[in-house]
Amino acid sequence: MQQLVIKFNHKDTKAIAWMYEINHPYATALVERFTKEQEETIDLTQEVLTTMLEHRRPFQDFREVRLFLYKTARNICLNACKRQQMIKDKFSDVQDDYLSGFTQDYYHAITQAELSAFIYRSIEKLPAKTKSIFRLLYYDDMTNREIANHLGIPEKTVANHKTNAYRILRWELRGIKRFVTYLLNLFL
Amino acid sequence: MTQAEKIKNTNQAIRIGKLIFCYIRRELTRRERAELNAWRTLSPKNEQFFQDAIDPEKIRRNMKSIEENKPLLWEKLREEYPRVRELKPPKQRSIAFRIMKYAAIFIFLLCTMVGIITYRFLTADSRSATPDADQLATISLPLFEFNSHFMMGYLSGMANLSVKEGEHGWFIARVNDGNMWARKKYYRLFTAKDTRFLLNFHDGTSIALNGNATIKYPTWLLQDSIYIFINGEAYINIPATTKHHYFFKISPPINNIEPSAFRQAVADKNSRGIQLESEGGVFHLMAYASGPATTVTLVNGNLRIDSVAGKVVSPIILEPGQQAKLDSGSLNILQPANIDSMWKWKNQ
Repeated sequence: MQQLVIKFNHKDTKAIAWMYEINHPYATALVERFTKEQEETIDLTQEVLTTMLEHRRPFQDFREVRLFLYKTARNICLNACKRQQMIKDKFSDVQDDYLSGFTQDYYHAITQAELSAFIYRSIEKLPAKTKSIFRLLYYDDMTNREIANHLGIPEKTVANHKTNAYRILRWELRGIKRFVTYLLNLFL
Repeated sequence: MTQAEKIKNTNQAIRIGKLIFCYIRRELTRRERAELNAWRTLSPKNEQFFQDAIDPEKIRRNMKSIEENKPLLWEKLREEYPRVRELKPPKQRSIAFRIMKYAAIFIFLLCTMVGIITYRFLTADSRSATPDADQLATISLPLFEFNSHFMMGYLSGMANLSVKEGEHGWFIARVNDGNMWARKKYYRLFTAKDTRFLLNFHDGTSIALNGNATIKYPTWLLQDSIYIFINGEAYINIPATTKHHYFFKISPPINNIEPSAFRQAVADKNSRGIQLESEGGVFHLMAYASGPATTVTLVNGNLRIDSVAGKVVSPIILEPGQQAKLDSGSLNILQPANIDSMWKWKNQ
């Protein structure tokens, strides 16, 4: 991860792509919490990511990148609020004290962004075939039969992949890590 | 709010995000659960946020939004950074590949271990070993000494011995004719204090060693004359049908498994060494380096004494029941009574 940050500081194209890949769930989740329309979300998220990519001062580590991202997202959302003066219409639940700086909503937004990024990453970690079937199930609301017809595979296979996906998502920490958690629960 | 407080709150928000994720997946430790509960009770807004965060439908909506926005965001990014290309998804390794990976690691470790053992075996003569060493073979690795089963397997592999563990501390080994790995070398084996070792040769010869004894014998046994060096107590049975001439040298072991006449001569001169030759017979040897005297007792068959304390003497042929005793440089032929009690240990 440190190597990636160093390469990103040197504006390596592959590192930029990686940074985008890693950070877009954080940025999207955070910005989305303050916007209502998808188009607005995309514009502001794009602005956040572009600001991060064009940042000139080198980052020390990945955590600093993320903190910068949150700060930038907050400022960009604030500016958008002020610029468009459409707080009541386009931006939801943004209170007046939010505009003055850090508030509970902002920290909740960060928490939400972290949580969403964790969940998104765990979905991305699924095996390729399982992931493609899970996407159709989860995002497109397709039934097992529809997916089976769509992909030309047996319905049973779809069901197996679905079970496997849920199993992995619920129990990703297996083996020694789960055992350590169990031990910690016993002794702490 | 100061900068430090802002950073602290941001870090806490990041931490709570992780805890909620662990909560959803039931991976919280008790301490983490207590931390999360404390945060939830801090304010009603926190509790409301928590309930929203774990709502499956809301999670699905968030994920869907991120998923849908991703390609649109990527398109916009490409407009500004046309040189940036989409990352290729990582290759999914098949199970066969993973198995092969672990197999390769295992083979590598195995080869390394075999390499070390072979190296130590081939260079064993450069390391000294003391006669009272509590181990079965001078070529042993200290790392594995704790395990007699491993040592037996090790002796089977490297010293060409088929070793079995018998009762009452006996180890019974069958000596094979030759080892291509060490054709011109000698094996030197030790017995521990309460260990007894029975070596069976291919021609029916058997040598029983009592505890704290050393034997050195050639790796290549397909030859007319076989020289065996013994220090300690032994009971030797050479069948009359053997085609070999057995020469026994009773001398303290020298720290070299290469046959060297000079070194052996030096060792003989400074000891109570006797050289024996037999073409078939049963006899008992008592020749501890730290013991009072060297004795050879013939039970039956024939036995000839060729040299005493490093000096060639006119051959002395022992009769069954006679005992040759070398003490303080002089050799005496005795006729002891009740000789069977000498090798009682052999039948235990």
